[in-house]
Amino acid sequence: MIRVKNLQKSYQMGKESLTILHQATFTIRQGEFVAVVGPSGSGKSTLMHILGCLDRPTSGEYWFHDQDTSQLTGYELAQLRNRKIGFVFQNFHLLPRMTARQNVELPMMYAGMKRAERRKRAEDLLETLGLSERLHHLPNELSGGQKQRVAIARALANRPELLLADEPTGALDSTTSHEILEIFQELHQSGVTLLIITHDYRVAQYAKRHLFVEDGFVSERTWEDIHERN
Amino acid sequence: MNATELLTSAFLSMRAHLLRSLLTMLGIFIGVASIIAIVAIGKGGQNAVVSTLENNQLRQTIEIVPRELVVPGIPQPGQILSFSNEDFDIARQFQGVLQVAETLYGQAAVSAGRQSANLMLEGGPDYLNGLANFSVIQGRMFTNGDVLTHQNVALLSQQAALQLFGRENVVGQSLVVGGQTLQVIGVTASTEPSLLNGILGGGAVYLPYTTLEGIFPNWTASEMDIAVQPGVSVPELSQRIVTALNIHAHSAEAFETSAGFLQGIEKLIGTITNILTLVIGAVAGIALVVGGVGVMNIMLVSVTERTQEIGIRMSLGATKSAIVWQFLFESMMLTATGGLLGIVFGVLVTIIVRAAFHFPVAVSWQVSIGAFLFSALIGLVCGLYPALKASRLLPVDALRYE
Repeated sequence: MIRVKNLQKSYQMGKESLTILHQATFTIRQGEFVAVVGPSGSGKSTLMHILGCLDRPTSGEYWFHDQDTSQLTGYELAQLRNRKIGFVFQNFHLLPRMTARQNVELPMMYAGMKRAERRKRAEDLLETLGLSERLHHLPNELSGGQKQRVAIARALANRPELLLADEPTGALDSTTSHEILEIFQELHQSGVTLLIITHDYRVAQYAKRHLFVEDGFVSERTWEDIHERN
Repeated sequence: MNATELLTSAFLSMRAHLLRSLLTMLGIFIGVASIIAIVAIGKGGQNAVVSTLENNQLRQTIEIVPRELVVPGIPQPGQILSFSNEDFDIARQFQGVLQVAETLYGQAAVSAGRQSANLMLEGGPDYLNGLANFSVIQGRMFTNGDVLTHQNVALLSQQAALQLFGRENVVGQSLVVGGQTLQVIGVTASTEPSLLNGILGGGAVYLPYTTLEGIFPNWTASEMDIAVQPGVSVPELSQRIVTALNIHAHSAEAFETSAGFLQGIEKLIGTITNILTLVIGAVAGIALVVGGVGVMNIMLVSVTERTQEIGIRMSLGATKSAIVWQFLFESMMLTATGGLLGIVFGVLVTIIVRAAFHFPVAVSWQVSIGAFLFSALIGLVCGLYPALKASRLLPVDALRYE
């Protein structure tokens, strides 16, 4: 589903060029549960931004299905983010003035879905995630775990093919983290392609496959390998 | 996102910063309110003059006045200020003329019991033109018979009745003018809130001109009132009579119909309103420009404040145009609400002006709609740069912005 070849991201800092991501090459197939593991500052967030079409690589290729993303216009990239990719962020990134249901409705609104239809789907999603009592609450009236479940519902709103999660449990305590990870586990079983970025090995162990990022270099590792290094 | 969703979202965003939004609207509000008010007052003044003119033309009467009254200034040597007996004879010779009478105006002390006031006296025929926009609300008008027999009767305007007697129901009471006792036979009231009624007929006493001539023999006829036969064209006949009178006076500009007099006033009001419109229009224009700049400024602040929100929306699939429209709707919502409040306040001002100064006002709905659309346009223009700025953000940079 995803093919990345010699992906590179550099920033120009004055005269010097700073490379965040070196020649990354890998493939992710439909339905995989992948963890991108690495210490903070290793370049894994940059990788996620590129995979999520929030940022463009300096060089290299990124194919989403049979689509070369470097050929897509800004409008087409927005469409891709809207229909095919769901994001879950560390700090939830819910819009503070909107209720839980309105937050979940937002991607469907941008997709042009009718009000009644998207309202129904938002309510169904929130109910599935155990938030049927919290539909009309604002984010600041929700606990961290509830916020993250709203964010997951929002990410799933348009039935994306790829779910990108950037440190999804980074702001949560261990019990809540466990709940959220169970949700991801279930999503994986229902066939969603999952990519979780984390520096937490307890999180990474839920994944079936691991990409290790260090100093901008991406490499494929087995869980045992990663585990032993720590 | 469709228009309804954009409107809802813009409204929520405006409500979230209510005080800031209201302060931002202030310039637009003041600009629109002053435009609405000044146009309503100016138009009302002109309407009043026009309706008075039309009213006079509907009646089969002609009023002729010395031109000196039309164009006030220092009288030229030989300038004619009043009518002679020969003038009346000239007018009587025209075909279609039913009756020629005179009207005398002047101010004099009028007393009733212990109360006394300096009031305007108008002596005329029973078809007195000064009463064009008045109706007799109590008692009766004096008749042609009263005029011919010099009856000592008078009508009071409501205002005069209140001044002299402290009430309006005064038929049968008597009052004294220049040593002569007059019986009050009627009370008149203005039929419309007209500007000219304010100027010409405030506290007034109306009586037969023959009676007034008897009381003040040295008052000269300052207006000639001609009753015209039905079916005769009033403008045409009045032109011919004025020409004949001017030839008799050896001056092309000795006399003028009072329609001309009213037109003179209309022109004067027009000039005053034009100057006022210009001055207030300039103030309103400056307020709108400053208001627009304020809106642009606050929208730039808003875009900066909400950079992360923009990033989140982009990550959820908002296109550039969706972001542009979101911010355009917000700035348009600000200015259009300001415009709407301005219209409401402007109308309120005109209502107060009408109530306090008895000044006719005419709120123009065309101007109101125009002002509303224009204020929305200001929002569109001033919101464009901030909106484009927001849409040009890179999703990743916007998301990471703290």
